[in-house]
Amino acid sequence: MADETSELPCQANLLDATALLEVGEVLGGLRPVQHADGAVLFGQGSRPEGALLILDGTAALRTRWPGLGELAIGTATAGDLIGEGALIGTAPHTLTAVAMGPLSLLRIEPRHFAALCAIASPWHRRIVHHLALRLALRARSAIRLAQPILGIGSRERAGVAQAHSPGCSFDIRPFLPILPFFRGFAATEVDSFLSSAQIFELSSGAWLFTPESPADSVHIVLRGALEPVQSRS
Amino acid sequence: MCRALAYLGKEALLDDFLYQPDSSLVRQSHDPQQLHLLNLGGFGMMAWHPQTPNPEEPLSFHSTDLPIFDRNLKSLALKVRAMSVLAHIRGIAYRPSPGYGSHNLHPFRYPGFKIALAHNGDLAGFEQMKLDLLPYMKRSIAAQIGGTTDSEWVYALLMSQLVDPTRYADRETLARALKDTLCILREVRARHGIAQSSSLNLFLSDGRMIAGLRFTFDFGCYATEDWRRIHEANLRFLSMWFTVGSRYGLAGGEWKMIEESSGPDSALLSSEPLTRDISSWIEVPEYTALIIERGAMPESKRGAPGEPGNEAHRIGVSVLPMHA
Repeated sequence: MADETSELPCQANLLDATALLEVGEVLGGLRPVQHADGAVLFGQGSRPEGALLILDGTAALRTRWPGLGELAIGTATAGDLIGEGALIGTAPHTLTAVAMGPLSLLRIEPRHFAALCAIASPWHRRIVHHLALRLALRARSAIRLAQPILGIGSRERAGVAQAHSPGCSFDIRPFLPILPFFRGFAATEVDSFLSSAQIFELSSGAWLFTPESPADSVHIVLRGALEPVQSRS
Repeated sequence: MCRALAYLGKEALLDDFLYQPDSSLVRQSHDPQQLHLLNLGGFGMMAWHPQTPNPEEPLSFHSTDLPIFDRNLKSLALKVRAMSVLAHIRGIAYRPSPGYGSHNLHPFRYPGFKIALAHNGDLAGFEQMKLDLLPYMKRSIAAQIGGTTDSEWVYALLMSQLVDPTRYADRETLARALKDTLCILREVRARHGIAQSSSLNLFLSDGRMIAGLRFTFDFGCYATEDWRRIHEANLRFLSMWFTVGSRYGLAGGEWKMIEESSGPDSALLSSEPLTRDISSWIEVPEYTALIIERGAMPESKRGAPGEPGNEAHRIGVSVLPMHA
């Protein structure tokens, strides 16, 4: 199995720096699957059971839009990872994947992936990075597709620059465990977060950052909401 | 926190929305998929069909009985077909309250008015601000308020923004009235220093048109007094979904919009999809009004007179950003 996967295009992308031991560890959580021509690998709207790594063959990717029928999104071939959203959540599949001819796959179980993430070796982090990039790419494609259909445009809104007021006007600590981002965190992990993060407040209408500002930090919204807006000036 | 649906399209049996799908509206009273709150405060519904006596007046049904046990409602649902429906199950706080009762059941529709409204949401600090809404209401409309909910006050406020609520409102008029209503609420909230997250998902129908508004004031700004009182509904933008197609029915074992012709004839708007398979549904964007009208297809896309494609029941969907 290790020999087989090492020749995949995605292997070249993901596994080139991986120790053989780690490959073996990963392959322990992969389940080989075979599908005949026309088999539905997963259906749009169905609950995900795992991500699929295509070893051989091609799958057609389709989506249905209410009132617009079925649209062909593209194809996935050897080396492509599909249904990867299953690894980070339980949201239903957003498209249907159908085998175009015989198909060989490896199924990655979410629980095994979660265990791998917990170990957090460089290999695993690289997969997560790859996954995040793919999801971001797909999200951008979906937004581009949806905008003309839904008649949604980017909105322009004036904002004001504001110096960040350090600290929080109320005791934020008790609220953190109920926020979605922190669910499942142990108390010590929440405290660790608080000790390593800088908490600040912005008033309504203030910019958090602009397209010109350096991307030197990641932000977690603890209260309130942010709106992405586009400047046309 | 309530669940609601609005339907406009080809004739359909009420049972197909209320009971049949695996996440039907009635099922959402005890097993909603997208918000973990029971909706046990009662059920209300209005349904329109052009081939009924006085077709501009809807069939109206309100009951504080739990819809899942209501034999009258089930019997009605199995017999009544409609071309537009507005239905609502009410979610209220789990405590003894004068707010529970038939006087507060949605949808609201005052005698002679065309538009009915159902609400899924909660305006924080409403008791504090409601009397300040009176100056923005017509006296004759304010006098008809019979319940105690923020929802009915919002209905009265919205109707007061229409020149004549006893006449059908076109898309532009309705959109303007919705915007004006949001602006008034925003202003009164600011006057009282209310800056807590307050959701205002509205469902409207007049039998010819359905509309939805997905909106939240000060989204994300949960109350900071006591973390124990924060609920999931205070942290999430309340959902609203829609689906369009030729007709609503059972296909391939799934209740959904079915594509049969060149254009859409039917639309369904709901707090959450009526099926666990959400693939034929689209989420309404936040801060958006959706207005779905019959006969709204552009002239260029209609068939020749007499052709099936020229039926006046073709629907058009308008997506309107709403920023108050």
